Amino acid sequence: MAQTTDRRRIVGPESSAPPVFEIDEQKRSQDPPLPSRSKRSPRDIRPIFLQTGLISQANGSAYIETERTKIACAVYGPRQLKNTAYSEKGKLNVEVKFAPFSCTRRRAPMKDAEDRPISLLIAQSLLPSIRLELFPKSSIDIFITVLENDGTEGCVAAGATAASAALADAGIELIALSTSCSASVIGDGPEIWLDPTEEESKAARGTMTVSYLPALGTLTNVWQTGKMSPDEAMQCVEKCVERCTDIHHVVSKTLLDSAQARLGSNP
Amino acid sequence: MFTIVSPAPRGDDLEYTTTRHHPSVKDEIDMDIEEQGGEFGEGPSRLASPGETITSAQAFMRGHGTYVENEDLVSALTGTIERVNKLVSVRALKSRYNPEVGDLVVGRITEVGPRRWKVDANARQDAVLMLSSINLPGGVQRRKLESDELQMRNFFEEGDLLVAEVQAFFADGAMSLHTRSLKYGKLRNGHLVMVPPALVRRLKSHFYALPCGVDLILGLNGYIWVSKHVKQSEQEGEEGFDAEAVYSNKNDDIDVATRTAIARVSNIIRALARHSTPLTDVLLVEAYDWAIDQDISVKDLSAEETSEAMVAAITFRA
Repeated sequence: MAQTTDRRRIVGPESSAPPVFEIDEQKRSQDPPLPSRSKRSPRDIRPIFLQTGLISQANGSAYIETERTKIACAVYGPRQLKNTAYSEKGKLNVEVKFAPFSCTRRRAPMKDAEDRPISLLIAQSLLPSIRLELFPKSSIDIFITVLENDGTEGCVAAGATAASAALADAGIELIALSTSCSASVIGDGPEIWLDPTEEESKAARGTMTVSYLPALGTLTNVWQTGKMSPDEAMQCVEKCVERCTDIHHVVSKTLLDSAQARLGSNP
Repeated sequence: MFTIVSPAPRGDDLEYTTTRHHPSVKDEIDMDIEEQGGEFGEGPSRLASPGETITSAQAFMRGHGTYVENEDLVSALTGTIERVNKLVSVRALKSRYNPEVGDLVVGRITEVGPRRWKVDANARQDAVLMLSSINLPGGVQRRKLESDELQMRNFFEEGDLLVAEVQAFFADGAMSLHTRSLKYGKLRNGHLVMVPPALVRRLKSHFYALPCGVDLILGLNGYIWVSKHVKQSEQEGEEGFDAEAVYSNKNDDIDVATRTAIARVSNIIRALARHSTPLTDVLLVEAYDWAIDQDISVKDLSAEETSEAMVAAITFRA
């Protein structure tokens, strides 16, 4: 790790501790074993805010916010692959970066162990929806910046949804929009809570993230962690698919609205 | 901007309306298309998002931006649906340039290779300019020689801007350009402005001389060249082709008034592009006159309020 530090960058202190407040102390002493969902029901996902076209130099971009998950996504391309052999199909590159201030602990501004698996998961969610056969010799580059992270599952789901919106914003031909939703199995009940926050997914027995093309009814990616029975897994997939359909409305509405706004400004 | 809060929990038996329509609804959509009488362009244009079923594939043919799934014609892009007779296509509002043979493009050399140049022309792949498809020095049309291959950088170097025509396509879809006309070739004495390719329409001519002493080349790939006006006779040259002048890297002397005019036209183009206004010479002349009338400095043209006022004024007039 010592070799990988960038000496030109002004680094933060080696170690730091969050300030301890009186309220925190009280909370810790009476820490409940399970977080309770009081604000939303187990079937509910966090409200979504989505907007396209915020990053002007990119070919397409999207910003998604679901309460405390905030992600910006930029798409460049399709552009010519440099210094590589001929490829019949286009290439999809996904790069996920966490902002140093995105998590509860400061993240060093360089690649670490978590970024790559998340990139691969998001790439897998998108791959079946992109018509790569139309882009020989080209690459599509997706850069995802996590500005605030509230649970890895929510991050993957929101990131994949935003990336799909950004691809559509870039005018890249898609078979359908891809949307993602996550679920967690909590307690021995068992209860299934959709779209878990970081706190909830830590308390969960198992989590599942599902990517889905609602327009075609096709699953593109299923990512499961932890322990869950086949029956629970099936329930998770079903519930996620149902919410993905709702998220699809949000994404397509956003895209159509932004298209309408562009059309509206030239009568 | 809008926020959508997840809907309240519903019963399991409730069906959600997805973009997959029930057959009866689908029929109505088909009817809508019929009623519009083949003119998607009239009235508010219909928009589609990826994965949305447009119509049945049996009655219509799939065009660009669409594909066929289970006998349905499905959109692959976000944009306006267009129809020519039975051909239905979706045009994205913002995308890379889709070249067609005969298009005029402005590009930048990115690489010098064996007997060819690679040109960035805002397309999915770099365009190719073959040594055999440029005008070689020596007056008459002649075949390329080995000596030409060795001094390719004398014609075009990395970073040079050029105007060319799309000649053909390679098997992988890359476009091949040619500059075998006196109108085409290296660009100098000016300024490149990049706009979305959708804003430049196919016109009778893409070369314009504006009355303010500025020449304009509207590349269909969204690259626009704004330069000092060159007289027609000088452009042609006496012997038809003067290699030294055509491949020169030196700018002519440009006086302050012309420089200001170039900057003003560039800023007007950028302002119009920000408001997604399709570019024509008439519109640009009007905008230029408006800017002069209102006594707006070049710098202020890029301000948001000014550009809004300008777009409102000229589209109202037109």
